Amino acid sequence: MDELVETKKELLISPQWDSKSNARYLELTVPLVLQEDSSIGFRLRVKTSKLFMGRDSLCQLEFVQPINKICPLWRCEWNPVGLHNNRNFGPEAFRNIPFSGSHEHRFDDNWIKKNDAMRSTNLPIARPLEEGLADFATFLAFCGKRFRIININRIQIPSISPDLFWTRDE
Amino acid sequence: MNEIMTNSNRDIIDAAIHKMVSAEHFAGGSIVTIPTIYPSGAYATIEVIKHDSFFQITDRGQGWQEAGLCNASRQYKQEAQRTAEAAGITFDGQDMTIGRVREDALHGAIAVVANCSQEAANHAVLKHAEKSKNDSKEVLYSRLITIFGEKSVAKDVSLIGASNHKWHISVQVSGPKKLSLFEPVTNKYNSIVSTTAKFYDLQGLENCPNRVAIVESREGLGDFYGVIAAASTQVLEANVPNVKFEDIIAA
Repeated sequence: MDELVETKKELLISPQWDSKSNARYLELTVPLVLQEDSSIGFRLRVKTSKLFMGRDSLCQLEFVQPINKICPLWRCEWNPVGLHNNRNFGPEAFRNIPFSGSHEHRFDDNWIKKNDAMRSTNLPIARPLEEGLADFATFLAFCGKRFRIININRIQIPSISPDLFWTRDE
Repeated sequence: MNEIMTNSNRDIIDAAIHKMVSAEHFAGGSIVTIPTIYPSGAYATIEVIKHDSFFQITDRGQGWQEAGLCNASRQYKQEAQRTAEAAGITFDGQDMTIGRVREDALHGAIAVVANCSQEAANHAVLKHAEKSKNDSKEVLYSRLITIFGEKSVAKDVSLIGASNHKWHISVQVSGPKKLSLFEPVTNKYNSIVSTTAKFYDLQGLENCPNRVAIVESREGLGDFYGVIAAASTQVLEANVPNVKFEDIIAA
C-alpha cells in the first residue's frame, strides 16, 4: 500500500460539488486512477464549509475496498474549528499536545508496516502543517502535491457567500 | 518520592485546565471546544445559540461528519439514536441537540451533548471495523462453496458446545470424516476472545470438529496469535491457496 500511495494519480473527470447532502459542508468524492497501471480503488474526498469563510475544509485520500468499505489513508485539514489531540502514541513531539490550525493526518504516521494495515479509528495521528495556505485553492494544490494527484486543478473552486450568522464577533 | 504541591505547581495545573476549554464567538452564536476526543483525535466543538431566554446546544453534526469519513454513517445513526435516547436529547439524523437549556445548566448540557456525540462516533467506527469481519465471512463462504460445493457448505449455523451453550458458527463444511468450522477473526479483543471461548467449548465435544480461525495476517494478531491458536485446529491467513482448505476437510 505504501508504494501505491506514492504513485502518481489522476482525476478522469472534473467532479461536481454536492451542496445538498450536508447542511454545513459542500462535499465531493471522485475516483482516482493510478498513472502507471489501471488499478482502481483510490478516491479523493473534499469538504469545505458553507458557513465559514477561509476555514474548515478537508481533503482525504481514501481506498475503497471491494465491499464498499472505505479506508482513509491521508487527510489534510485546513483551518478547522477546534483542536486536534494525539493520544500517547505517534511522533513524540506531538503526543498529548493539543494544537489548533491546519494539520495533516499523514499516511506514514498512521500506517503500521508490520501489520500491513492502517491504525484503527480514523487516522488518529496528526501533525501541524507548517506551510501557510492562504486560501482554498492553495490548500487544494497543496493536497494535490501531498497525495501525488497530478491534476487536482480539475476541481472547481466553489464560490461561497459569507454567512453573517457565522462571522466573527470581534 | 512525591513533591509537596507548591503554589507554583498549582498554578501550572490551573493553567493546564484553562487551556482545556475555549470558545469562539460569532454574530449568531458561539462554538465551545472541549476535550472530549473523537476517534480522529479532534476535540468536540459544540455550537451554542441563544433563543429568547434559553440556549440551544448542538454537536454541529460532528459525530456524523466524523463517522462519514470512514463510511460509518449508517452505524453512526443507530448508535446516535441509542445514546441520544439514553441521555434524553434529540438526534435528527445528523445533529445531536438540546433545544432549551437554562443558563445555569449550560456547562452540563455542553458536556452531555459532546459525550453523546463522541460515544456514538466511537462505537460507530468500531462497529464499522467489525463489519469487515462479516464481509470476510461472505467472501469465505463463497470461496468454500466454490471448492466443496453448495451441499457441503453452510453459513450462520448453530452448534451446541460441551457446556450446552448454543454457539453461532460463521461457516461450516461437512467433510467425509468430521465437521470443520471456519470463523473470520480480526485482531480486536472481542473477536479474539469470543472465538477462543467458542472453540474451547466445541473442543470439549466427544466428536470435536475442526476449528479454523481465518485471519488477514497472523503477524497482525500480535500476542493474540497465541490466544486463538491454542483453541484452534489451524489459524489460516485468508489468502492461502485452496489446497489448504482441501487438506483440512480431508484430514
